[in-house]
Amino acid sequence: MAAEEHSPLAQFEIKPLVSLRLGDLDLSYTNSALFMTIAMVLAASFLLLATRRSALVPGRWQSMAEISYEFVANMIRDNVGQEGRKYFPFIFSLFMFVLFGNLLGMIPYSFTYTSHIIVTFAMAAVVFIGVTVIGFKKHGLHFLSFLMPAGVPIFMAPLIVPIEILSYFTRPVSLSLRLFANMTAGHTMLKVFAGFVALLGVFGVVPLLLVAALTGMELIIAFLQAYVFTILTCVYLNDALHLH
Amino acid sequence: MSRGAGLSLALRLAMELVVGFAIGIGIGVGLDYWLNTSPLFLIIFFFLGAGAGMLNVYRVATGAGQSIGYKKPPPDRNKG
Repeated sequence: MAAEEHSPLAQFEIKPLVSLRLGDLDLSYTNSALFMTIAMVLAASFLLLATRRSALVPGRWQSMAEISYEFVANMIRDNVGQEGRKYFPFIFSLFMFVLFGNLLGMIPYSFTYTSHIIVTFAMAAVVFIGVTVIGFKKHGLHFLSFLMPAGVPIFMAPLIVPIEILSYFTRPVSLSLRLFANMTAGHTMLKVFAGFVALLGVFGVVPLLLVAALTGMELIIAFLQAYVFTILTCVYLNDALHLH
Repeated sequence: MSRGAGLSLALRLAMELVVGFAIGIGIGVGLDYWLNTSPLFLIIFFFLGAGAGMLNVYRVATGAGQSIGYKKPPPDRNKG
């Protein structure tokens, strides 16, 4: 086997499964797209099947569906308030999509689509543009007053306004970079330590134990990053809905 | 879990700072490339980006909003 196949980064390679070209556009159905489809189907069927027979005393699956619903609903209520309720479908879909992407990546031989910055950046860009549009729709041009924090003397404006604009534009970048960096670093680290297991022979037990521990930590990170991505979306939405 | 939360806060602080610089440099280089004024905008936006990054770090560290908060959430909001 070639050395590349053992590379810890080989897992992030995008392979076209069904080639499709439209002019200069490469619209191939890749392994990344395949896992996005799987995540969508899994998330939809999980919620649909779990709530198919909605009992008063919920069973195991129904409890899980209700917990995930309440988790996101509470997050929106605590961070956005009552006005955020109409954005629940979007935020819940975002949470499930990121969470299933992170968790599917933990299955051996699978592909983690959240480990590609273009995927996370696309999601962050949708959030960023959506939140900006909501802010302008709700407050009109008054929304621009967020560029001047309360209590800033007017002669500081030429310095503060550009800094605030730049600070606003770092949002989608840091939002997407955080998810991407966490997933990529975690999966690479797992593969590197797993490589030591085979190399060290008998002493490979030590990295094997480490890999077991890291897998647990990666599961926590998968949940934590989906949570962080969603809660930051809520915070940005709150900033746009409630100006100071 | 508290250790994981602390680690993620530390990573966020570092990331906010770097992203601020990166955005500033990116916009500066882009404007220079577009207007052929190298390195005027690179210098201006480097310092603005540095300011934005430090501002973001300060805001995350003081808990005034998650990234760019303007104020703390009102305490009278019904919770639970």
